[in-house]
Amino acid sequence: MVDKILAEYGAVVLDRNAKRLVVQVDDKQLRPLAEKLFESGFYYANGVGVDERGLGHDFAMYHVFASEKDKLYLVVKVSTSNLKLPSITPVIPGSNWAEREAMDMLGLEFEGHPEPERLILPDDWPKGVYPLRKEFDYNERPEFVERKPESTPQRTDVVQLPLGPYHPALHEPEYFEIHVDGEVITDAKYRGFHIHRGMEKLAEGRLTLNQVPFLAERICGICGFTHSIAYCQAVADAAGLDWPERAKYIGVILLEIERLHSHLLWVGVVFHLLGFDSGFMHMWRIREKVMDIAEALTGNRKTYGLVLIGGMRRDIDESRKNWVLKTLTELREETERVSKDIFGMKELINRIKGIGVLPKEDARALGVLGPVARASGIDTDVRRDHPYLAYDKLDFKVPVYPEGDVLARLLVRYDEIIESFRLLEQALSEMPQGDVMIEDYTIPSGRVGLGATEAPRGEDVHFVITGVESKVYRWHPRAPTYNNLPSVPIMLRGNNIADAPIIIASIDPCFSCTDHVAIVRKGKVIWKGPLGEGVKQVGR
Amino acid sequence: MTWVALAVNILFVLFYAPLMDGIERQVRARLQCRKGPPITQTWWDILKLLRRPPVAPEKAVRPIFNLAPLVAFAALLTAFILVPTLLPHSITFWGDLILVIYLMNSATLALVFGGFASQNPYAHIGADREVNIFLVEELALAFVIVTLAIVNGSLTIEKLFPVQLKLSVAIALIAFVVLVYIASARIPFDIPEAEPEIVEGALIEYSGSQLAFAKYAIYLKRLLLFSLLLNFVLPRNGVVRPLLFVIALPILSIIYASIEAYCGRYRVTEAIRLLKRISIVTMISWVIAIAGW
Amino acid sequence: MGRFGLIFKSIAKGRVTEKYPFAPIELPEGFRGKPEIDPEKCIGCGACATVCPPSAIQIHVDEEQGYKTIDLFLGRCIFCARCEEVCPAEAIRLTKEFELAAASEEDLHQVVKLKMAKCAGCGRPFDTVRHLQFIAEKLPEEQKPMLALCPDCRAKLASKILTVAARRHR
Ligand code: SF4
Ligand code: SF4
Repeated sequence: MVDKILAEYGAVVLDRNAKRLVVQVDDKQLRPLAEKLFESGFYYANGVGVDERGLGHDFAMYHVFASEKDKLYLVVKVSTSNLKLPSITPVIPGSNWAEREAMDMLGLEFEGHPEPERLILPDDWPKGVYPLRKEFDYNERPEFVERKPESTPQRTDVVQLPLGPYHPALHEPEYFEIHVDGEVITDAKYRGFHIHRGMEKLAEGRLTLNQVPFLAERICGICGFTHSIAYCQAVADAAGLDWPERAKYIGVILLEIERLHSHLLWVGVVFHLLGFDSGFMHMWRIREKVMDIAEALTGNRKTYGLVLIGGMRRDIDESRKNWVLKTLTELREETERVSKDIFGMKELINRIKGIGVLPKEDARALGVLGPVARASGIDTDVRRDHPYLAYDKLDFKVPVYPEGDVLARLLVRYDEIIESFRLLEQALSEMPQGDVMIEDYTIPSGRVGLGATEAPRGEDVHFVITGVESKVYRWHPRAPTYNNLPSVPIMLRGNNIADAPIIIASIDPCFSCTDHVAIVRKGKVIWKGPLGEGVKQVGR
Repeated sequence: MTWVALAVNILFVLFYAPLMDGIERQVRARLQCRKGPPITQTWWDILKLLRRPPVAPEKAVRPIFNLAPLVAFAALLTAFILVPTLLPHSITFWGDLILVIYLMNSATLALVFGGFASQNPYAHIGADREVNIFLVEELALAFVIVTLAIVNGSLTIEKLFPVQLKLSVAIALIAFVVLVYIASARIPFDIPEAEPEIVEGALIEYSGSQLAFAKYAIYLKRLLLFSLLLNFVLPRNGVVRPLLFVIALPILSIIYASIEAYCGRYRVTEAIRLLKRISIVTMISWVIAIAGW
Repeated sequence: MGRFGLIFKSIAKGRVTEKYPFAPIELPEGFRGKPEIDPEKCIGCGACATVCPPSAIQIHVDEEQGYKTIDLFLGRCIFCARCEEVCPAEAIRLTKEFELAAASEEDLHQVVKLKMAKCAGCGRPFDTVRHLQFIAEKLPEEQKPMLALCPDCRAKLASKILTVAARRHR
């Protein structure tokens, strides 16, 4: 089916394997092709601008589409010699940020983009300096230009309430401007990327292929391991490497441990936000044991540091297996018991029922991922749709709830916790013997690779172009919150201000992951002034 | 003699109010599988805050903002002259119960005004919520008092306590137990302060000694509510009273704090709906009291 | 059961938080704490510096004094154990220690200073004595003289030998 569509729009196949397909199209055909793909069930997974002059080409934009139905990642490449490309945001809203990112970082122009404004670079970054172009050195510091921070024009008809950049309910800097009428939210805007760390540039400029996994693991403070796996999968994909079976199982085990601790953490935080700190303590008490398992298996609670391009660096000690299995069984029973009690607390459940609803159509258009998508009735899971590591050999269910509210998101994650326990028990007992690492391999240069994993928050997509001298030419990780965040304003609309923190938290946002990619000047005030003005309006 | 006894009472509440918060923190910690801070922690916090200079936001209406915590604190302290606590002594005159309620409310309102004066949007929301809850709460409280007044034929604390037990009084008392919980702004009714939502609400801009007084006032209010409650049941005179009083207070703390540890926060609308129901119950008790039961 | 079940549960569980830092916490075998270089064993090969992802290990060569220093800065270290993995002399090891608070930045540096050998040809210090000894143990006897030369001189010598041999061959 896909081939027919591609042929129709004159796409040239550059590379293909069972899981992904790389094609190039003419820029005139891009928008109609994108529209057609969207109609036939593809969603927008990642968009990467590349300065290909070092490879003897021009600038290019790689749009990555994914389809659960076709079990396929489709990489559509368009080149440009004059920096101009058609925007596909009018037909797929999900590509909005990706195109603006390429605009900021590479200076590409997207014709027909509905809001061609800065997304990542801070307001005082000089115009015409593009950090991801190859001539820009990774440790270069441009002169900042003094510019007044842009603040959205004051509206007099509504009360504007700032939520962030620092707010106790949000554990990372981000900024939501919330318009309220009484206690009801009428509109919300998001401004983020306050903590861009310039990781892509660092990887291209300074690190070697086998050093990047350690950087990738630090994209996220909670679910970092899945990023390092996604990156290594991307390089393995580019070079056609296949890991030993045992390495794949070890990967699954640690990915699921990561999912467990991440979900347990989130459930705890939700209870805390609801004022129910005891629930928080119970969840974190269980989570702590999961962290202990991770520490025993990898040598660290959070940064496992386990994966290289060739596989796993550390084997799982057979003598520890029984202890792990026993602890996991206990933890599962404990989780079930505690959750049953907590779900029996009516006022808690009523508080999150029916709030922050995200309709399925909106979720699809924005390319929302992971538990948020599954709570809005979208049946998607990378582990099942695009199997990686040993997931195709294991049995697990993908929970889907149609309601789309915060409660549904809680239930999806709870079901996933239980599924993770089951997956862990299977993987630990079925794990084959053998090597965990391949030592001899060569990485050809200039190859495109794609790695996708189902992180606790949704699909991670890493895009890699290999370079010479064991370096990456281009690496672009896309964390799930990047796709999920734009849906928050939709969820907030029409809800009570008291529910805003819990709704924002319900996508399990991870801002540092999303922002992985601006150098924000220290002490820069992103937003100032309207605070007082907001007050005047409140006191109207 | 009365003056000495009053001084003892005042010193006792001043000392015990922060300690009571410390006890409740410890109880909650234990129920959350934590070690928790020592029970003197709240005292240390207050002493530390008292040493710090307060900071006010640029746009605040200074006089109101600065005075509010002190007014709240002073109002509550005055209330303790009228309500017998450790010792059964108090200044008494006709309608002193009304004055107690009035003083308690002015403390709450002072903090609300302080919140508005801070010009912070979160403080506004917090103050707004406080007023909303306060109004309904007031209604229920009024019915409770009227019921008591009808049954005992008096509004003087001295004559009121201990109350005659009648059906109407029993209902009113039960409602009062719940009202005490709500009025002391515990979860699920800590909506005006709701840390994760609106960041301590009306208190958000307070710091240093002003914050210390605001917090102290809140602790005093809790103790005042407990004292009122205990006056209903404890014997009026005799040596056992102080003894029973100091035993009963931590017990109340444990009960209230345990409930608090295992509840989630309400939305304002939910809280108000519940309060309205309580008002109806108190109204019924009033009707029953008129009927003479 | 609802909340009452939970209340009983937490009373039964008791305290779950740790006494740390007032009591030490248990660490499993294989815990990755701060790395330590054994200055007696280190041969100054520089393999650790090459693989270290955050460049926590840096090599400085002081040609005038003829010293090579291996400088491990814990402030940058991410405890990945890559250095331990590649070290040929088993000189760098990750310990179980993780408490890194220090009064000054210097306390976070571990510096190993190694004497360098001078090239027999040009006289330039080119490699640490220990590294040369380490290689020498593995080298066949006839190739050992080459070790006295720096890579440049070695290359020159090699090409000379080759050209001579080639000429002879002709
Ligand atoms: S542990 Fe990792 S980061 Fe630390 S010195 Fe060794 S290689 Fe570098
Ligand atoms: S011997 Fe080990 S510690 Fe010393 S420089 Fe080489 S790799 Fe590093």
